[in-house]
Amino acid sequence: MTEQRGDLSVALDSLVAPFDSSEADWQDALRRGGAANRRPLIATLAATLALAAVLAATPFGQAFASNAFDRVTVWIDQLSGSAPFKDEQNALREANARAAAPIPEGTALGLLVSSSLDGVHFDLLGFRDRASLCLRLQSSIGEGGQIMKAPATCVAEQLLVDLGKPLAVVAAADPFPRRAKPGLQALYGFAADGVASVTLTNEAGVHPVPVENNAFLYLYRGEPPSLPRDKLVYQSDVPARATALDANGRVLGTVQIMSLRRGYPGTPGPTKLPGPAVVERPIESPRVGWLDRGEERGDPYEWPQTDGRGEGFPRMRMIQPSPATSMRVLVGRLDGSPSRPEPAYCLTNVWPLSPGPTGFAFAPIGGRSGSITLASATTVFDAQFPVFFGLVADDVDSLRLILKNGATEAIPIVDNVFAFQASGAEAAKLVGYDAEGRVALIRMVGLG
Amino acid sequence: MRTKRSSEGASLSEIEAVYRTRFAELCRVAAAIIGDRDAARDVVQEAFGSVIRHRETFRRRAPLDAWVWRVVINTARDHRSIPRPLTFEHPVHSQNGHAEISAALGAAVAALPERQRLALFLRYFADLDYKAIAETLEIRPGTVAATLNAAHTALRHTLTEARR
Repeated sequence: MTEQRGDLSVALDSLVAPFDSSEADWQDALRRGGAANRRPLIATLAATLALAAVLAATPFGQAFASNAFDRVTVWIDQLSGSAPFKDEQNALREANARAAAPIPEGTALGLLVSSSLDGVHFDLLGFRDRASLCLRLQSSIGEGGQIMKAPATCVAEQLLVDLGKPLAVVAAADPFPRRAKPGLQALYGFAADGVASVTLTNEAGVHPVPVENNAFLYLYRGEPPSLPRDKLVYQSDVPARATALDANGRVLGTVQIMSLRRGYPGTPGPTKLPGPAVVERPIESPRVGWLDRGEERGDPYEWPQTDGRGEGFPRMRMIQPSPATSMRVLVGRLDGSPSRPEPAYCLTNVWPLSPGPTGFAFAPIGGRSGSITLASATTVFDAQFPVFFGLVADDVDSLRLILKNGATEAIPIVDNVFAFQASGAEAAKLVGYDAEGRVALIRMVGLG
Repeated sequence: MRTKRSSEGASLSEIEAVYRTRFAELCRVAAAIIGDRDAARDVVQEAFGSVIRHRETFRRRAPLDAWVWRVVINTARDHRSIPRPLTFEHPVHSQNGHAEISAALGAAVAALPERQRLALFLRYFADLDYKAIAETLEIRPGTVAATLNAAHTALRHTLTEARR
């Protein structure tokens, strides 16, 4: 027997050669575990702040700095302001004071790009919300030249890095549903360092757009969406793709632009994307213990008394699940009623800067799903970076988002609540694990 | 935040000690599971990232090594869940029939039931004793002996056939 084992040992040795311990990289493991040595980061931050101090004396247009480690520029909070933008800054502060999901106090606002079409002026503003980069378009497109502000659209920096593209289109059309001039559309987004211009391609041809301050804004004429036979149809010619070019005209990368008109890509099965495809430890009866016990976690949320929307709804608790965004998720438990006999967990979200929630999702208690519910939310019709949020059962210990290119992100769980962003152009896979690292749930994430 | 489970947790220095002493064996077992040396290093790094993130949930009912092994094995299995044939490294040049023997043995290992395969990898590539294998695979030591015996019988038969 011993002889046979030795014989086998030699034979097995030839199958997988030994590894060398010198290949070990503890710092990389720490980084992946979110426990990296902070010293280099602090040094980087100090250097960045020093750079910000220099930039404080420069115009808005230069008030961004590069981070050599990522392909997407990191925005600096300390933006200087010209006189008109002091008003904008004050308006932001006031809106934030009224918001149910406020962004960090003192967040600076910057003017990135200005452009006009048909006598209508547009300003693209930028700000940073925690670890997300945000764009907000405003325009004199209202009645009598009144300034209108589109909802802020934010993208998590980590997602931009993980997608590995040098540009990101954030919004493609119709940012102002009630504007006075319906025939004008705007497309805007971010560009990484080294991107000098972006070309946008639609049925009419190729349109070059300059990049300023790591952002681009393209104004075009297009019809607004219509509702023939109760079906939303985009008549406008939303560009289909955007290509980043460097100063020499060399192509750096291309992204697809999502639109309802063209439809979203379908959501594939779990075997079509990297990561696990089989649930190893199904959760038979998923529960959220603290909601069942009526514990008061997070912050209380009071429904506005005036609009009656809170009538009949349960008491909600407000959780901030992601360190990347100020978005809050409201969760509660609804006991059975004559109209809804099954008790249910319910949840909705509140956008940063928004005064209250929109929409509502219910998940009957007692279903057979490890992820009790997964809802998507977005501020615009043509969602380029939809936000997903939801509840997981007590037995789910951790979540991982796996992108098509194999990049993975750990998705934090706070009081059973999670939230993350994904690209509308690519499906992703959300995997939940139990405390022993076994796969407890798999959800394909996409809008198609 | 979530309610913390009652546990003692593992310190970063304890995890680092396991990492530094076990790195080569962990990579080898991961490579055996997924059939890809480069991916195996990444799997081990990713598994340690997970161990670090969840170090507070570690309960000292079994050694830290066993917990780390489980996480590495599960991470490797996740990686392998994309359907593809299990492959091993084979010598490029065949000398005295060694390549054919390796190929036959590789196929025989791939055909073993998963528990037998894992026990075999932990025994031969990580040099774990029966107790450590039992703790890693969460089975009894007696079951380890029976499992390895079944694997030996199957592979011995393959080796004998290949040498004829």
